[in-house]
Amino acid sequence: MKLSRFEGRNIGLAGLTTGGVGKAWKAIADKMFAESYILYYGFPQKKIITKTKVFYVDPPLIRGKAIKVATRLLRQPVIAIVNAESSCIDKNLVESVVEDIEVGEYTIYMSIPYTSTELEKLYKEVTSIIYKHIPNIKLPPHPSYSLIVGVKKYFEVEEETLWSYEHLTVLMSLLDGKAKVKVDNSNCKDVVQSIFSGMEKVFTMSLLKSVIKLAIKRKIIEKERGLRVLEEVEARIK
Amino acid sequence: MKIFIALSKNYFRLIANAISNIKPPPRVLIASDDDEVEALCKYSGFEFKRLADVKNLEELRECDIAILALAEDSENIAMLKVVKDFNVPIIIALLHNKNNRDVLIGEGVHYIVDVDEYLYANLSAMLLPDTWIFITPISLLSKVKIALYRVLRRALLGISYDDIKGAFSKLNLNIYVEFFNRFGNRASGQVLAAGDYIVISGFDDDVKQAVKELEKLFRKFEEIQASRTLQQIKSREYG
Repeated sequence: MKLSRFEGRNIGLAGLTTGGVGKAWKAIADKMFAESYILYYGFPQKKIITKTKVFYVDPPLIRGKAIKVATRLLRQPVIAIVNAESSCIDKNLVESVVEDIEVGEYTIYMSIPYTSTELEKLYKEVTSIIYKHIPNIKLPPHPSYSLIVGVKKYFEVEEETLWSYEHLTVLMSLLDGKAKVKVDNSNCKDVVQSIFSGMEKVFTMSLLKSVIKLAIKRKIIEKERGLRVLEEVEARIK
Repeated sequence: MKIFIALSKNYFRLIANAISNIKPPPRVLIASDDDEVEALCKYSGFEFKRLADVKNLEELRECDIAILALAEDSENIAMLKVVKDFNVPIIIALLHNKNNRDVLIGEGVHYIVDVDEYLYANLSAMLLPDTWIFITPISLLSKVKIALYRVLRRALLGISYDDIKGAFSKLNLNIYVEFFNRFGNRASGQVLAAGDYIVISGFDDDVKQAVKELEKLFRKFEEIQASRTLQQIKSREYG
């Protein structure tokens, strides 16, 4: 019997993809994880054939929904959500991050920005609105990340966004005094695929709305003020 | 008999109907996160629990059947992992996305009811004329198939119902063939008209063979039609 040095680890892995599964997946998906899934959130044109289980997310092209599904499917206390099409991910990085989380150094660790210029531009506008109205919070500097590892309980948020779920988990962990969030802006960046072009505005606006809604729900800002901000935002979109 | 059901609000009516028809009435335990379901359970006298409490529910060991009818496939799988720990002998799950069938089977579901298939088949029958669409009406009996065909352009070929029945009678297949007009009533004329439906039901292999035979018949008539039109067009030579 082979004994793996990761024996008995209780970590779940979910790889998000809109098309094929690249080199990243081959490097990561081994015995290190107790359970692993590939979440396919594109339109299925060809079948992915791998050893791991493939789950098709409905509705397609909604990344926020795919991450939410990942948190539902995995039962482990620590979960890793990875962009399986990433060109930056390597095994050593993932291993070291997972170890840090297991030891308890951090509760949420994000690395490798996953953006495009258009998305970045709109995200900066959105965050400036958020900081203007809710000055006492801090959000990650990029709209989405290719590697997210964390304790599962912070991922259980009822709010939904269309693109970046990370920000809601960061907000959730802010409320907990013990939580430590680490955002690592590595040199390598992943570029968002061209299928998503044209959807950036919808994505960022949904992020803005759900962040404010969550802030109201968790009493970070007063209810009346939060509702006024929401109205303002909706008027600006029209 | 005791049945455990994990239920979302949109399937309550369907499943309550199915259960009220069982004699003798079984004991039912319903788990859900929707408030609507809790209210309806009070009305119909079913036992109710929250989904989060199912993990510690020792009563599950006495259940004979577990039915998973939650709103999403991922929720069904998450619930399945919990139910599996209690050794429930039969687990039935509702499937929404056709592609996820393999995952559900891999996790250990005994029977799958495909919700997607009916919607898909009905929609494509409306959208795609002149194509064959196959439906499995009962997921437990996967060999029983229905083939559906909506005639549109091929109605111009002038094929009569007797032609089709004659072609089938030669093969001696164990199938049932019926023709409907576009209003869903039984077709009364002699010849296939635009908007007609051809419905073939029977066992998988027989239905497939019948479809092949019918396709052959259509091609034959198309060839005749093509040769006729060729003769009519008077080609003019240049040079």
